[in-house]
Amino acid sequence: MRALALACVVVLVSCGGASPTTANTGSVTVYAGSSLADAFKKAGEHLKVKDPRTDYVFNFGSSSTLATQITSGAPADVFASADDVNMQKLVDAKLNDGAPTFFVGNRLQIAVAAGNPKQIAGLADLARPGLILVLAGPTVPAGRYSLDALRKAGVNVRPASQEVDVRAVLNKVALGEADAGIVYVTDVKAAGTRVTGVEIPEQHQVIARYPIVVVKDSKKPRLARSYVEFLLSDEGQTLLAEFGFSRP
Amino acid sequence: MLLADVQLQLGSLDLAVALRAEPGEVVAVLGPNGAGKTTLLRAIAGLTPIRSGSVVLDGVVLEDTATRTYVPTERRPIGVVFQNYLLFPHLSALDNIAFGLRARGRGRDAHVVARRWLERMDLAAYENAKPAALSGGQAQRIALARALATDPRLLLLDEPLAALDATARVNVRRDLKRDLTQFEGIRILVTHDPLEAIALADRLVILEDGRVLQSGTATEVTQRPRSRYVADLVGLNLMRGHAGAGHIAIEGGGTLAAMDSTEGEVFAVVHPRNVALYRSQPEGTPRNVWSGRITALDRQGDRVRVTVGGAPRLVAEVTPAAVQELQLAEGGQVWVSLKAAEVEVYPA
Amino acid sequence: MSTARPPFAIAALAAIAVAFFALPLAGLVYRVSWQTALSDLLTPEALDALRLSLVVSMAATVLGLLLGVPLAWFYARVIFPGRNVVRALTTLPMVLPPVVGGVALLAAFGRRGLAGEWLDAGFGLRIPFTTAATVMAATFVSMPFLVLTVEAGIRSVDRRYEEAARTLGASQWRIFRQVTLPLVAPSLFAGAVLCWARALGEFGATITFAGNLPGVTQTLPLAVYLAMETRPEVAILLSLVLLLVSLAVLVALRDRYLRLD
Repeated sequence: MRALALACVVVLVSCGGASPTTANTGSVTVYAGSSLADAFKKAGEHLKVKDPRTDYVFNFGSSSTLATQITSGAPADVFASADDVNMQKLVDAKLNDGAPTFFVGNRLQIAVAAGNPKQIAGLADLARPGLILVLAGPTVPAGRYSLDALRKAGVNVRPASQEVDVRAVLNKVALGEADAGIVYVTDVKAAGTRVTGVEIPEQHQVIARYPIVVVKDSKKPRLARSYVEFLLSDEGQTLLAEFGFSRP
Repeated sequence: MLLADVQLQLGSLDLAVALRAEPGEVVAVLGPNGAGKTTLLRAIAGLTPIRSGSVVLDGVVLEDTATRTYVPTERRPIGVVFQNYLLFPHLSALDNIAFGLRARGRGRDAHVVARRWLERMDLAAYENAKPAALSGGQAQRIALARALATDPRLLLLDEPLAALDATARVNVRRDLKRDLTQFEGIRILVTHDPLEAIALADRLVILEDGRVLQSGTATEVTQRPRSRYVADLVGLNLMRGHAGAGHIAIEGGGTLAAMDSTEGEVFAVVHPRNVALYRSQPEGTPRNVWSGRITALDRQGDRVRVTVGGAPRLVAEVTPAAVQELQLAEGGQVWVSLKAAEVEVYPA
Repeated sequence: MSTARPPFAIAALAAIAVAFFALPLAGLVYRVSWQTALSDLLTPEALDALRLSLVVSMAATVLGLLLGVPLAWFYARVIFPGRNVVRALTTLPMVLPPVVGGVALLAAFGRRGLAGEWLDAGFGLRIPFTTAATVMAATFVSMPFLVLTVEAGIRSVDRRYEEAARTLGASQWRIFRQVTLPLVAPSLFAGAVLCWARALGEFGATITFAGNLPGVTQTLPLAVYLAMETRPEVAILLSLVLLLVSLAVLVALRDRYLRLD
């Protein structure tokens, strides 16, 4: 009987809340759109060198999924969204600590198999019959941007699948399951030699502006703000530019 | 006519049996548990493979290892009543009986024939009953009807009454006897119950440890038992030995004087009633007298069976009064006296 | 059955267990926005997802029965070399995370997959992103449940009934149809229901292998997942529908076929 009680206590404690460290050391939890994955991980490593006491824990996914998670109570300290629509969800729920700031920009690019074997030249080619095209789902920022670009170009496509986030689109192309997909330039850069990027002309291009904010009721407000400030600093912007992001 | 000459090995059982059965008789294979009775029946049915031998029914070779002939069970014209009946639990009594008819291509009038059998068994009211709703006796009758419905040439019954309680057994046995008599094919049943065998069969085949020890009518077998099993069944003392010049050297020790002139390998049978017990060495005419130690005292109704160890070991049957008078007790010494004339001898 | 009062500790833990399962259902009912419920349900996306889910789960169950019952029979009746390895292989999807299953299916049947490459080159057959792929993903994860249940059922059938049938002149095929199968029927139903329920809820393998396209591959679980991001009230409503349908089936079949006694 005592063993049973002990077991219950252990279970409850291990499910318990924040770790009992002080507010100025410990880990910062950052929720960010999946296109920021590589850049943010590098930022985290960079900052850890500067200040070994602080850890950065990342949760990457579709901005819309993350926004829903945060409004449902997920313990994020920082939220970086790939569009304003999803950031607005947080603001509407009054979960922002201060006004969100745009910190980077991004552009779209068509991802195709390495070497562009199907010789895709532009958005119009995506409507080619028999071509397997995947897009991010309409609730994902990249998905909305893609539909905007296609609308601007007056192209009607029939995608084979609506992926849950932009990285899934990239992966389908990299795996060879899809012939083409619309992703960010940063994604194509991150994929290296596995995919080739095809430019989208200015008149059809969509500029994505990424807002970032510290989440209200964060247990590490100071550290969270430092992270945001770093990204907005010259050093941070240079790091982000390495991955293909532009100024906001 | 059935001619089965089979040898097989199953686990620790080594079976070698030659069995013959004619249409006119009911044959019971009787023996203790583990003798191989069910195995023999399964071998005849083709359910258990044989190592060597043959099974021939009405001139048709069902199995012959010499010529590698094997007719599968489903094509043998047999009917089997299993020990626990094995009525298909998901089918009604009618459908159970009709199963064999449908399987053998007589599906069109199967339910008519099945119904007729139900009436014959006096179970027409249970036409739609599932086996779970039937009593033991009723299930046995349905199982029999199911086996007979396809007009088999050979009917095999495995302990047909074993699953019934004492009261049901008497009634069902009577009905079974009647049904067996009416069936015209060859009938073989196996059982460990001598009463069942004697009541239902015309000829007994005694099977022990995979070998046939004796075959004959009930009277023949019990009057001249050739196995401890049967002797114990009828409560006789049975010994085996070598006879010569009026004396029999008993296997296992001892000598008996007999009045028979038979020579050679013999069975010697002594009824316990004819064994007399004394406190001290008797002086008299009986030529078989020796001393032994009492190893067991069993009260059976108004008799007491006293087992006296020695060479040979014998069981004497005395009255309880005698036991008291002589103060017979386990472990006590006692003198045994037996007349030569009361030793029955017959060739082994 | 004892009529004495059950010990308090056990009753308390059991009550917690019931609450654990009952609260989510109650929560859904609590959060449903009843005013918009009907219009939310009658949107083409929701109806598409519902229809697709029913079609896919039924198809997966039929496929599971067709392929799974013979497999179960083999496992129960035939001793062949490597049986344990084969059986472990076909049980694997039960313990694999579904996404892993999806990745594996891609590796096998994707355009550059082991079999997929050959199918594409030889027959122009492309499986990912089709409804067939959705059925395959659902079957992959749910069939093991059917095989396991049916195998246990076949094992428990008394072989002596089959012997009795043989003595009555029945062929192997007739025995299978008229003796074995009816005796296994309860396990068949239980297995089919488990298979159907698992197929209905399949998500990870579907989204990885089959993709996500309304009307083609977007089954109800996928629709719910995506609806959570924009219209949570639709997600809640669809979740409730899915839960109620599953509950109804389980309750209806529980007494007759899922009885374990």
